[in-house]
Amino acid sequence: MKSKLALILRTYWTRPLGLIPGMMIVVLAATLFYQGAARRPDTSPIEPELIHPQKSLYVNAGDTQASLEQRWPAGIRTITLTVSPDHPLPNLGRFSELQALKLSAHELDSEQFAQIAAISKLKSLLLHVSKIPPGALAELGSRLEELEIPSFMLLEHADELSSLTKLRLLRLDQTAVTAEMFAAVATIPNLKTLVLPVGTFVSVPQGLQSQNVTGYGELDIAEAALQPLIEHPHLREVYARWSARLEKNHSFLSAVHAYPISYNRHQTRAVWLALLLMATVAAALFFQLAAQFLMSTAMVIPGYLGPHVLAAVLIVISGSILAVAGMLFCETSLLPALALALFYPCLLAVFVRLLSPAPEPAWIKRVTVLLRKILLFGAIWPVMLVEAAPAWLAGLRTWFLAGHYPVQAGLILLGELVFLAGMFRQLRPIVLRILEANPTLSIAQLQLFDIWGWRPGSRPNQAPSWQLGGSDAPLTKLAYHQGDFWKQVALLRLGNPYRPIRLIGIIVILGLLAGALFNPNQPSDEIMFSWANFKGNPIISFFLVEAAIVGLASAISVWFQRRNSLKMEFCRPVTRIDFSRQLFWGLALDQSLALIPLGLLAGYFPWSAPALGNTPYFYSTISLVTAITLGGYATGAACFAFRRIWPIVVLVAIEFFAFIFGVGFLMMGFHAQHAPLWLTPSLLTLSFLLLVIPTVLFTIWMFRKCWDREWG
Amino acid sequence: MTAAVIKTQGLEKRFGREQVLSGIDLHIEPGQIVGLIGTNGSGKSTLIKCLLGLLRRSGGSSHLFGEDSWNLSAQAKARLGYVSQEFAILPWMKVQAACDYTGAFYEHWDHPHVDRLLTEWELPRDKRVSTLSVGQRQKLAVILAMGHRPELLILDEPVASLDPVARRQFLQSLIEFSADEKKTILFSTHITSDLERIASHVAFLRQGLLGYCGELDTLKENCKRLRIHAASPLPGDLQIPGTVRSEINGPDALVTVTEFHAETVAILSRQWQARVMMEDLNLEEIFLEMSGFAANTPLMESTT
Repeated sequence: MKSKLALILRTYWTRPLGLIPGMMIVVLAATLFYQGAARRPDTSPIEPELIHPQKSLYVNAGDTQASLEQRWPAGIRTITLTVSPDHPLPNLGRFSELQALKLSAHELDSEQFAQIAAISKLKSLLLHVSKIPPGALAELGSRLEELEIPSFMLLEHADELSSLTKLRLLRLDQTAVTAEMFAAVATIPNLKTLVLPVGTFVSVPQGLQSQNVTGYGELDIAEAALQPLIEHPHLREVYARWSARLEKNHSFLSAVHAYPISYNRHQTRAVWLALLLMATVAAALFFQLAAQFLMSTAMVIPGYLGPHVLAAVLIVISGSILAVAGMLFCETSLLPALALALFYPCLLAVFVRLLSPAPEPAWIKRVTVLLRKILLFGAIWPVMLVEAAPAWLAGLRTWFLAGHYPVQAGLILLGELVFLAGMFRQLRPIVLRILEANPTLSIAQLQLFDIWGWRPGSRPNQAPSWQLGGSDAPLTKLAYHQGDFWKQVALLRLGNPYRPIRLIGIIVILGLLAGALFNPNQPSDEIMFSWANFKGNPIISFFLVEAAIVGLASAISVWFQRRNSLKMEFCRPVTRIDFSRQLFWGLALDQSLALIPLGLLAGYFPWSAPALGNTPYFYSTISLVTAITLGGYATGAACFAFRRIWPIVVLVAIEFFAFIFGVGFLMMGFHAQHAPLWLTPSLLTLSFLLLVIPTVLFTIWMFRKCWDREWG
Repeated sequence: MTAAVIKTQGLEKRFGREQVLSGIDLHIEPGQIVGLIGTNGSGKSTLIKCLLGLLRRSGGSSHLFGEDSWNLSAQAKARLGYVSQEFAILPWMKVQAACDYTGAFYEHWDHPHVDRLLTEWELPRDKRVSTLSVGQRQKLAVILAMGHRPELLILDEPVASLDPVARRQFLQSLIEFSADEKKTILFSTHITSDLERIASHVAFLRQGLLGYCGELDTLKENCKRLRIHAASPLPGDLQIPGTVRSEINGPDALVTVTEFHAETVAILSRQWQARVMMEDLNLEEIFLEMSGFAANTPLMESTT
């Protein structure tokens, strides 16, 4: 048994296709443990917002009115304004669409505030000032939905707070909060979200019934002081820095959710890496299990199943140990770490179950196919949520990782174990059903990038929906085109069951829908459709990037799957060089469709933040799109240039990671402003443009190799 | 002399250090039906792929229709039909669609001919290629290769998966195809009985070397087995021209020759006062004798 097991385990790293995920696992594990070893304090704020003011127009009071009018468009919606005592407040009246204003000043007099009050569409006001005129809040009361003020103003303007009838989010800043302030907050009639200053440390010392300053910038608040908040009819969540005791019992506010105001970025990154690591383990496991079991002999050889399943279990356990240890290093609790580590193997188990053709009615089969598609393309979404979660979800995530949901984590873990055990126990009948439906099925036929593709168990003659729109209609237009190169290319492309518009379109629409429903800074778990959510939303950027990746990868996938028949097609009346040209243009046309989401992404950034329209960020995006597309094309063309599979896989994998890192850097700079200082937009632009030269040279090399290759 | 459809001189092919083809000289003229016979791994498919330019030769020369195999023009390829061993056809297409799709690449696609073959060979037009049986896919591959009425048809083991009925139909279609004197066929096969029915020429390939290449009738006329019963014991080194194998047991001998002449019988009878009986060999036996594989079987035993 031991020798058998050793032999099977060897197969995981002797295949070139197994080596690639193996290398990725090593790199991810090393990065994960480096995260743990570094242990730098890296706290990032959770910033719940209703109207996302990021990348707003930055205006200094020194800017003259003329320069304002010359430089900035009138349709701008968010402005960050710094006013110094030496300069008057610029006239904001021309910004008729202005919705959010972040204002930093020493103090505002009545005249200046009247200017602000005159902005008719203003919904969000963030005031970093020491004084505002009396009655100012009451003047804006019927319009403001989001307000940020220094906490001491609560007491100064306590009688005005009840007039803030539309206010949903109140963010307090600068100073600590007292019990009286909570009482004042409770008078805001429709408040849903309260964000306390980072410096306020909410704790409830034993036996203490009144406020007591315990240290610089920290304030202990008695439980009784929170009573007005608990009794508030509309308040849904309070974001604050909670004491350790309250963390352990964070639902103390009963109807009100308590969320943390910050999260450990170090820990989040470790979770992100651990999830990626386990996703890679699951992918490697899937490919290996498919290679080992998708053949009739696997079902005939006695004692074949046991050692192979044991090897797979060992792989899952080893990967999980790595992932869990990495997360524990970064201060994650054991139960959530275990649940997270087994998340992707569990998804794999579900996916494998869904591969098995069900003998149920047609509608169940359709649901199965739909679930499989969602799993395949949605598997990456949880990883995304780790980084770009809405504020409330980021809060929940922080509690979960800290171990505050032991029952839930335990139940998740139990469910995962049940699914995994089910998959391994049912592997034989699952494989038998798959082979029964298609005895000659190979892993290449699984068409993993073709989500509209392979349908196990469907009737042999049933036209799958993805193929030619459910019929062979386009093939009725076939005709011989003597000497017309482009029609020959179109004819060659017709040989691929590839209709990318639907594929890319659905992902983009899903992204827009998710973007409309969820804003990354959304304070509440209430699902609210809002057009404002479209702006600066990383969820939309993510879906556009995913659509582009799927577009690029599926084009490569369909041409790669055609490599066997290309040998025959080479013998058609076409010269060697024309055949190569036709293939290269065919792939280029297919991949150009991946430009649609990338083009949308390039347009989304400046649309999302008009201030970026003329900055290097815009040009960085354009150059990135160019470099990525050319890079994807150059590496994708490897499927024509090489006969062996592994160079193709290696090149496509390199491109994939370059894509992820390139887009990651850009989005990091755009959305989160976490980009390292040296990573300036100009440097990005230059780097990406420099990438164009090698990719063009690489494409030429690929073409020469294709032209000169043996097809036999 | 007619221009050769296929002409190779000293053709060589190596895969790394492995020599697969060595000095192949092949000359096939229009109208010839050439059967390529060889054991597994003898280089039949490699030779065919080198001829088609699917593989690059390592040495020598290879020409099709007078053009270099590696750089065939579109015009030359339009005169060519090929069925590979794997008969890879786009699996998602329906049979009729696959025919129409392939036809769109050719200027002169014979739709009625293809329709007739689809009907005769009972291929379901609305079934997807991936759902066809191996034999049905092979039939379709042959139809697709013949749809444009090529002048040269190259078939790499085209009947391996066909049932006896389909094989008969296939051979009949080849006979019809070759009725035109200009049509040339080169096909490799293990089934020598099929080849005997239609081939005008045969080529034997063994370990990358061309053993024999010539007319089938001439080969069969020249290859004979001689059963000799002499009055006195025969010498161990009995010299008969063209002997490929001999077994001598006292006055009895069985000798296989590849250069049979009527005079040989007379000379043997006269020299050894022997009674000589001449036996014809079928193509399979000739192949086994010439390739040396029959040497492992005692001749006396194999003929009884």
